[in-house]
Amino acid sequence: MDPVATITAAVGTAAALMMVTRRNPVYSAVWLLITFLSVAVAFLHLSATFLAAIHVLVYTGAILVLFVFVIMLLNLQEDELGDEHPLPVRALTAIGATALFGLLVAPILATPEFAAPLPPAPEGFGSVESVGMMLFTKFALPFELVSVLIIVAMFGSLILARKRPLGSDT
Amino acid sequence: MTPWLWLAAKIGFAFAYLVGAVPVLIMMERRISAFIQGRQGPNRVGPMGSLQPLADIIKFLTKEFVVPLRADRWLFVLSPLLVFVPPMLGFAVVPFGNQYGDELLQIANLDIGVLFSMSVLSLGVYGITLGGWASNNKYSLLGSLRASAQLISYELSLGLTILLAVMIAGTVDPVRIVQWQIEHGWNLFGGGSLWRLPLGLMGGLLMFICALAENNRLPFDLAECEAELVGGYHTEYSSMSFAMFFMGEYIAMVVMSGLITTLYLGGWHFPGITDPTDHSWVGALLSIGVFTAKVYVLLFTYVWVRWTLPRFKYNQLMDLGWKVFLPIALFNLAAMAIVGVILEG
Repeated sequence: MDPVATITAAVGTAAALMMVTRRNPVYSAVWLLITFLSVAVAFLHLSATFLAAIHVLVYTGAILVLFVFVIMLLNLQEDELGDEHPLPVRALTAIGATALFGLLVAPILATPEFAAPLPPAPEGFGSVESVGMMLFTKFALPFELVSVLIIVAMFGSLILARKRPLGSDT
Repeated sequence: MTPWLWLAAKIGFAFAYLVGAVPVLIMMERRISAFIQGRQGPNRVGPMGSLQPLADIIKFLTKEFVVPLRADRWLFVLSPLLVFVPPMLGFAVVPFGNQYGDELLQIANLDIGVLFSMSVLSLGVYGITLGGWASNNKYSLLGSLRASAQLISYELSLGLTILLAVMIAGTVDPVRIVQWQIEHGWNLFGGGSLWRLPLGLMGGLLMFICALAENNRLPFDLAECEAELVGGYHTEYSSMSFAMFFMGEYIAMVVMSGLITTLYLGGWHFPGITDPTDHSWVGALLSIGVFTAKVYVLLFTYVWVRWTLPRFKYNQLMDLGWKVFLPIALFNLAAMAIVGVILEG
């Protein structure tokens, strides 16, 4: 087994578990930060350096900061967090989630390509140049469509956040 | 020397360079502020008051470290470290000198280059936000909220101005960006093309202003803002834990100045002083000297701005970030793309 991949996977999974089991949302955010960082390390280990940098920049540097911002803005107190579910419910949820995960992973593990060792990354793989080249040639259309999707989402949140409904002046 | 020894030596040098800058900056801050305000400034401890930083350090070390009763102990202790470490990592890709023999004077030559610095520096905000939240103090929390909103807002413009320099030089590798500027001229002046001159000037200036905001320096220090928030996010911190915040801010300033120097001010090269082909130890030392001089000119400007300009109001800060700087940075980038095509075609 590849030690780097094993350690990153272990840390990432453990941090993700901690994230979903913490009661305090700020602690969940801190564990999510660790999960994100281990995903970035996994990208680095797979020679996807550009993806790793962008992952840290966008997910930990911007999105998670916004999460933390909102959590702090609400600053929920202990009695506002609601009751915890009873233990059997939580155990059943965990079992159900694990079963679903296993169901999704099983076909991947069953494919013969999975067992074969990965071919070495070609020269320049994952660099800024190669990713940029792919985005603007082979994947140009999906790439541009995603930006449309993001704009739609942005307008959606703008409309939802308006104090008065659209059409009613002033 | 073996590669590992080289790496250790360079990391040691960079650590000393960054931490060693803190007492110098404390002294600069005190003397320049005194000069600007027509005061004497510290002049009792040592010759010309030069041992004042040492006295500060002794004071910090001997004070008691207090964790407030209802604070979140873990995060309260962890946060100063989170402020301290990311800027240090960001220095890893900054070339602080030319070559010595075959060895680049840069800790790590990554193929993502400046993107690494950008992404690592963006982690610095966690120390500030979590520290303020963990203190369990209204003022600290307000400071934290302001810090996180401010850093997200200005990081966009900062990233776009970094990209502008990358576009001018056509590479993300800081060593090659410096090389490009040696051949063509500083990116601040458009890299030797009149077409790019206004864009380069605008980009460099904007990057410096956004760096002020990223480092929580006046006129953007809304996160501490003594007049409204006592001390902002570090209100509850004392002794060395406060000193860590303090040092983290100064180190972030040095690293940011190093980045601006590399991206816009020609890095370690100055015509007539350094010779890019000179790989002897004299040439290496000279290049480190030039880099240091440029960094300290920027640091002087940081201090100068701090004691000259008043603080913004929070709404002004947000307006400036989103409605002025971001459009300018975007326009700059688009214009650069067009100019680039014209120049190539």
